[in-house]
Amino acid sequence: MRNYLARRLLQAIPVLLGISLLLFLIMHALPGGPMAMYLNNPNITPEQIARMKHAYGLDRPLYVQYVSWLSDLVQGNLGKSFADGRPVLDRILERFLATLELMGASYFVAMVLAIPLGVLASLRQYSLADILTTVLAYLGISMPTFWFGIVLIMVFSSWLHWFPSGGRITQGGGGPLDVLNHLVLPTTVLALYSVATWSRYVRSSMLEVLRSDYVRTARAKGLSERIVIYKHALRNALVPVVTVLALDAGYLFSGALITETIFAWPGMGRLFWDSVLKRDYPLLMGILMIASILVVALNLLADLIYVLLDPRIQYN
Amino acid sequence: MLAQEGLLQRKSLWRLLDDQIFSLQGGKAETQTMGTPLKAKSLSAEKTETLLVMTLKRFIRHRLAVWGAITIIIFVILALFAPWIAPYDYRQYNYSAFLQPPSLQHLLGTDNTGADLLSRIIYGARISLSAGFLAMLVAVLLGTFLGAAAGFYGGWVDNVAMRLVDIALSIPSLFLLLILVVIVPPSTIMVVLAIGVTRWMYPARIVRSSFLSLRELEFVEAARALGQVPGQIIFRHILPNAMGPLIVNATLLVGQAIITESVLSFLGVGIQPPVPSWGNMLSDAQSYIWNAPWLAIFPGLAILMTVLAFNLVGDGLRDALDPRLKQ
Repeated sequence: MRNYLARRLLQAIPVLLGISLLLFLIMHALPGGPMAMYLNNPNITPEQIARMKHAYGLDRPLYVQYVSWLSDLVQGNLGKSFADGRPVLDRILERFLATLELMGASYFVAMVLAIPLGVLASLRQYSLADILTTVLAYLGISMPTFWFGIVLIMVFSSWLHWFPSGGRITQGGGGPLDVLNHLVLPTTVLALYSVATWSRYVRSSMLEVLRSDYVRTARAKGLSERIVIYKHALRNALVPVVTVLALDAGYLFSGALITETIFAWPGMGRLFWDSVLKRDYPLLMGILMIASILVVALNLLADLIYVLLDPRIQYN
Repeated sequence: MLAQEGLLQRKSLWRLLDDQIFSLQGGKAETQTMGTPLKAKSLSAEKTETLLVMTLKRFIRHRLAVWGAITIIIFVILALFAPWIAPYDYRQYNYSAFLQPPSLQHLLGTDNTGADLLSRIIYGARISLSAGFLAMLVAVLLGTFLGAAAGFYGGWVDNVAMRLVDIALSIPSLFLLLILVVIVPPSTIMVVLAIGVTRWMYPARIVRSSFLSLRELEFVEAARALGQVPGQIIFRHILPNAMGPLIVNATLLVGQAIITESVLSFLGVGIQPPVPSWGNMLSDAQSYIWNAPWLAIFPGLAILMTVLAFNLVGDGLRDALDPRLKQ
């Protein structure tokens, strides 16, 4: 187990290095490079750009720049934003909580809905409930997230006035209820895809387990159906599902970006989109790097949980 | 007779419930048992039918997948013959008739310039479908190339290619995509290329794993023994046998690419107006949510229907091409 953990951690290092190198090269290969933001500004002369390039160290050879950027990164220094000169890490951290709140809420909602739906569909295979969850799954997977958001705003904000159409909290502050009120629509939008896919995973995993010998044995020795399903079947059926939950993190980041843009949610995704429009190169690099590190870390976590939950799996 | 037909219909819907798209483990024994009552015709048919005919027969048994295929065909026809089908020119601005609700004259209403929404959606099918299809092609070509090399040569080639896949999968794709399309001058080709370049990872994995198992089989050994070069072996012998899962993934990819294109266009960095795409129509519609909700509803429905259709067809193909379901 310890060996396996060490090996997986070691394997993550080249992946992280590869990500950093790839991102670095992309930013430099693009027209205008890191200075793209200033190139089209008529008030800035080529001399000023040259001076800025020198000040930021952008006139050094590429590999020197990469090494110095990387060593800064390892020390937690992501550079300063071009837009306002503040440290990139500070700007990301002040938005991070909002994204975490949104993603956490949607993870929670998706799990609370997807597991019972999947179990129900598997227990009553080919029943109306099963068909309905299948339809829901197809719709959820085919739904363009941003359009779903627009429709929800149309119905629940413009028309019914039940929920606010955007923002994280009412200006001037509000209670916990206000926070929840703001969370409802964005969480629904972000969770839809996860509910759709996860309920299918739970269903097929449950069907597999319900057919296995030990479930038959449990039934044969006279255990109540309740205990067979929840204690014996579901626990084992959830093992592969847990991996999926963690692997979906990458998708969830992209989904959060769209959701945050539509609902004016002050999170990392929106910050990223604003920085794209401003060509704020250090901030873009910083957000991409942090999001990628989180995805790698969650994938690692998924592997570990899988090993912990399933004692049959031995990695040596 | 009728009752039997009804039973058959219901069975095919049920079969679809066992779609493998969401399943981690691939084929399920249960689909086999559910398939049993359906074997009747294909069993009695002559054994010489080609793979294509067999697949087609099995595909047609999936009612929903067939509906998906019909939907796609309708949208393709709309796209191809847009100038003859669309009731108006999509650029026909009519400021005396702007933001009109759906009526007999304008079945889906008009937008803020007075252009007919139905006509714009029909023309939009051209962009959305071709962007989705071309982006899929880029992703599949890239993925097949890398996956085939990795699976065929193994060793360090495989290692490098698979680490590349790991790296690409760890970067949230939409983030990368936004950088690519914003900083590179916007054009339809660039949008398509950028979507394709961020989607090659699954095709690569699929092709690689097919190659890993296929290259050990006797017919590949025989080809080697006959002195064929790697190029011949890869393209003439292994690749055709690895097509099944790849086709399924490619079908699903078209749907995903259509959604991605619409997201980019919605954010204003994809297909640029006045060329109508379903995404940029929704972008404009945002300002009129209250006065003209139809502007936001219909283009979105077009996206939803198309993507749903591709997902249904992909699932139908997956079952039809699954050799484990063969009777």
